[in-house]
Amino acid sequence: MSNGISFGQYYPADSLLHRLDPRTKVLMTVLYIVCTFLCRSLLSFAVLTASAIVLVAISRIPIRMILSSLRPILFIIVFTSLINVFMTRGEQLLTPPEWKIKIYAEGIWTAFFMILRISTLIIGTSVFLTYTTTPIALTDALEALLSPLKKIKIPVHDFAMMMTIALRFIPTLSEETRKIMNAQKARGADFTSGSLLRRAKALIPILVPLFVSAFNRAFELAAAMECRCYHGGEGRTRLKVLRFRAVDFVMLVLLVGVGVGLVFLNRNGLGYAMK
Amino acid sequence: MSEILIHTENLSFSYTDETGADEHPALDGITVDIKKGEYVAVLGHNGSGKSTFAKLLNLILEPTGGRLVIDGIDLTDHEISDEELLRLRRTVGMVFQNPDNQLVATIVEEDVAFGPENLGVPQPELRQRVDDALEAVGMTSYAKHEPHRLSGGQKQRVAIAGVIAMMPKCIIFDESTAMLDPSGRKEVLDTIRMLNREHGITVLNITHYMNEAAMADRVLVINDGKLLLDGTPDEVFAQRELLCEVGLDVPQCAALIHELRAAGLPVKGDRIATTEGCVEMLAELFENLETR
Amino acid sequence: MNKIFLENVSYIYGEGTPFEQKALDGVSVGIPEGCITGIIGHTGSGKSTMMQLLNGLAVPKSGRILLDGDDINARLEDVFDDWRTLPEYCELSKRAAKKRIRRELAERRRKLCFRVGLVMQYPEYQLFEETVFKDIAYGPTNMGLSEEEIRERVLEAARFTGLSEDLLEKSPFDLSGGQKRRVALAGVIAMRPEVLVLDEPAAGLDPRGRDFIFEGIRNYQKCAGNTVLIVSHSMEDMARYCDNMIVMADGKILAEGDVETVFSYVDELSTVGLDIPQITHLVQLLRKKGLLLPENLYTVESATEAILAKYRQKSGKGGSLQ
Repeated sequence: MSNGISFGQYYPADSLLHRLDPRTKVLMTVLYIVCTFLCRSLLSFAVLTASAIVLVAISRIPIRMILSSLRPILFIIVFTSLINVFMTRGEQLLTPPEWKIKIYAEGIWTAFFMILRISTLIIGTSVFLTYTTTPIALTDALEALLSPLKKIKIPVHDFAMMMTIALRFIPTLSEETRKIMNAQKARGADFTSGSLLRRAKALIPILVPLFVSAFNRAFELAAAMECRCYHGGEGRTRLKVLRFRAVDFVMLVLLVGVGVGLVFLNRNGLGYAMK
Repeated sequence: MSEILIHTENLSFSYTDETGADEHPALDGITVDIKKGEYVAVLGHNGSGKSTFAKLLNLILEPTGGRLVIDGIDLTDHEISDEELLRLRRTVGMVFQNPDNQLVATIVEEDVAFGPENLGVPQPELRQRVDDALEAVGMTSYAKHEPHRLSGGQKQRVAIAGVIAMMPKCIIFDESTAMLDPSGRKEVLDTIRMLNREHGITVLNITHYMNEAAMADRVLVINDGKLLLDGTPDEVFAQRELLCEVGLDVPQCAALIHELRAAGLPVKGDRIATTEGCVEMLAELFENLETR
Repeated sequence: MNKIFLENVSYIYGEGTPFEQKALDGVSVGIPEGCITGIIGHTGSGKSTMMQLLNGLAVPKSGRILLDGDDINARLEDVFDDWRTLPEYCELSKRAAKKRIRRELAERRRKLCFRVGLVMQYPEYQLFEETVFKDIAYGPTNMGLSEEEIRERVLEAARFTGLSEDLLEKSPFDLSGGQKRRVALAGVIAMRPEVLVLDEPAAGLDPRGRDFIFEGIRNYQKCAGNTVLIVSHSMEDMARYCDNMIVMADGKILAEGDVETVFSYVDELSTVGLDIPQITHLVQLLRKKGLLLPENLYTVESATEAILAKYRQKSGKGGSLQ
């Protein structure tokens, strides 16, 4: 019934973050990413983590959903932290000197910071964008923020429209894939055993129907859009008018403040500070 | 005299294959007038040309012959400008078969707004239209939902709301109930009837369900691209043999009356399209018997 | 004799998510062998779940599904003690026996889809081969049959579903909607399943397409004598083509038995939102007007006969009074 894609799925709720202008949220995401990279000391990472927790709290999104958004990148987190643990050279050696593998305290710290950095980065983007912003609002925001590019003949609206449609059809097509897989399994298809070549071949009975249906859907959708008078971005009005409100400015200023604060906190390093 | 909204004269359409050599006539000389406020069902088996007919009325396909006049504008005597095309599509809305393939946005109310947005309807009128349209189809409480979580019938109602937000004079339903379950079908049919009765919208329901055709004021039967029958449901369903010959059927009640008459019972009356009509005719038959 | 028996089967969708939904709730029911059984219910009544359980696409949360008396989802520990006494296993060491039994169970599960053939809703989307012939042959090929055997089965399945031979070399994508549907049906019939399960086989088809499909199914059932299970919303179609019916509502069985028995619950059926056939509705209305017709009339033929009989009876009586 429900599909397993939690990444990129809007979570309906009524929170401060949900109500912010999507353009604010796009800008805040960029700022937040910058912030995660500004952090170099324990204190600044502590503030960063605290800010992530506060954001999750005010977004009213269940913790379970936030954690599930981390699952797909768990491997990357583990991998980068391992690399950091083993590859970072420093002064404070933790392993006995005669061992071939050398682990330094700096490595542990860096790995720890890396975990915090990547997690807060993902939490930040999902809280600002994927969970609290409808994909359409996000597209609108990107279209609005990128609209200066229209002057140099970049078709910003068309890209935005394509993105909207792609987002709209992800759940539909994933459901369709599931159905086709079931239908072929019922005819004895085996997707899990055999050589790589055999497994690749076993995908044909899924891919062909999927493409055929996707093309049919595309033609029908195009006809439906034409029937509803779609003729490009020119002269279009919007149901949702983007409007900066006081709260948007306050949030932006706050985040800039946090960023500046992080830079200062880097200076008086309590504990280890990254180079 | 009520006004004529759609007028076709010998309307034809042929598909040409890739080589351009072979022509397959899909619609072959349809002449019909549809009045404002009518509820018309178009019956035909799959491949009869009924869907082609619908697509011509909205200029998704361009006629290859004949005349087509919609809302007083002849669409076949000159090159159609973009403005005229937009005006036509605002006048004649269309709801398709597959509810999934006509919803553009990921939030119900934003999808309903899609049409009027394209027309450049300014705020706050836009907001008002969206709210009214959702209210009309009874989907107000789903305004913020994601379409892919709705049932088939609900999705189709959202699609209808998207069309009425453009304030059309006529809506064509191109087999819009074919993929729905009975409760979804009922939701959509109730909505269609309400739009016709209360909002005066002209309805063309393309279908192959006999029971749906029985609800209309008028039934057109299309076979092999030609207009086979044109009349009230009672008149059309009186032609059982002809309908069966072209791969259609009559509602069960009508079939019963035909069978009884064939067996020699003197069933009087002609209201064979609806259950109620048939019940009355049969009750009368037995009453006559008792008072004889 | 029951071909399939569901024993206290429950199934839950999306357990632990906000969309959690009980699809089947302790269902116990038998599917009789060698006839057509219809499962009726509105969307969400659990009927589609039930069919996915039957061929192993889904596994019940609790309860057992017995095919010819064997649990189709049996695990090693469920059968070990019983099977150990069988001649093939009794001489093996415990470890070797376990290994053999485990392999046997896996093999049975793999072959389950060939024994219980499933035709999904709108099955035409599963077509993918270059020709109709190859597409129908997909299932039999997966069974590992010889080329001759495959050819024979494809031709047989095409005959049952009324596909002419010149269609077999065409691309399935060039066919009409009704023909595609029949190709998909043939693709499952060609596996010669002991049980054929169909989900809304006539959905979206026009009257002629619908009759073709149902005739094909009936034809196949008569010739092969196999068990057929049809899931549908349409009481009119079910009344016409089924021998037995199971009515489902909210994950439970509401009524079961032969068609007449089930239609005697007409009032209950309407309360769970099922569309009773128009003819049954008409008879109900006539009864309300005081015309004493039998209650469970559900086909045009039976209603015609009943009304004719009534008319003759009344006019006969009228005549004698004169």
